[in-house]
Amino acid sequence: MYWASLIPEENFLLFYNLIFLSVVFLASLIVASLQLDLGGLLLLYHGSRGHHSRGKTRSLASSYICGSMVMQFLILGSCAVVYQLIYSVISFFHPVLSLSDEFFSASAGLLISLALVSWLFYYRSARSTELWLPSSVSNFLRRKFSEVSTRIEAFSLGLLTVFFELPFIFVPAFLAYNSLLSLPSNIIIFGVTLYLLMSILPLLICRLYLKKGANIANVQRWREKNHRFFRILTGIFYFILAIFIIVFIIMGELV
Amino acid sequence: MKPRPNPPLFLPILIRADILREARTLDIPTGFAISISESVASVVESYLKNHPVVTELDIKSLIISELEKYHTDLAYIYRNRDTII
Repeated sequence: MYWASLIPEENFLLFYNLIFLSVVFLASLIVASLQLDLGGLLLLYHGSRGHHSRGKTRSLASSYICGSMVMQFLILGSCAVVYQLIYSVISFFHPVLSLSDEFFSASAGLLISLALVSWLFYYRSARSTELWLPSSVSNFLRRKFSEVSTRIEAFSLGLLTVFFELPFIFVPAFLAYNSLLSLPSNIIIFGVTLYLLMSILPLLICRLYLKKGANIANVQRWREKNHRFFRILTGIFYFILAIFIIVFIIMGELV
Repeated sequence: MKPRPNPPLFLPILIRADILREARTLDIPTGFAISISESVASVVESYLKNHPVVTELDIKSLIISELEKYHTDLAYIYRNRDTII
């Protein structure tokens, strides 16, 4: 089925760019719906407010958010290395021009698996916001967040929390990278900025909310009340992205 | 055989410091936080005198039930601080 031939020629380029930007946007929504970095921010506030002044807590939170954003960018960049590595290995045995079609197909399958995994395993308990991490890792993070005292430590914790979510982030990031490759160079920067800003948007909103005077108990109660909704939402985002790729990119023969 | 670790000490001063630290994260006024921590610590002390064998969970439940009387947010954070992630 090549439904893209139904689109008028003058609008085709716009449609083509919109499709790939939408993939980037959906991938960033998936990353934004994950909860470890938001939980980390709350732990940072919890650990820091007991020991430091408000101003210091705010600067630590800003450093943490910067760390999260930098790690998201590094993951996006590392997709280039992974892509080139796989392309080099496969080209060695069977020369190909591009692997985008195969990568998109494989990613769609992985997204569906990740949707099921996020529904079943992302939260440990049905009643609390405890996540899938092994208890040694979550104890390590809790201890580090309670001891954080410098901006560089907060920055490192931002890097670390995003890194620990890599099993759930890598496939959307890889798809976002593949989609960015298909865009013109002047739109790539916009795409990267959109991805990074959307992925840290929950942290920025939480930071603003806490700055306005809310306390962490309110935020944590809200997270606990809505954690089932977030679990379903994350799975739905994975599904939507998979179906979007199958319908618009693979069946539309846009790669 | 591995030696059993020593059981943690439940000193009133440690409970008071813990509650004060949690109260500070919620911006509870210092005077109010001190009075809450002293009341809760005294209740835990009298409980320990009457119950020679207790578990960590018993003490935590007692602290939470006492904190609920004074400040629900403080009790909530004390109960859920290990389940944020």
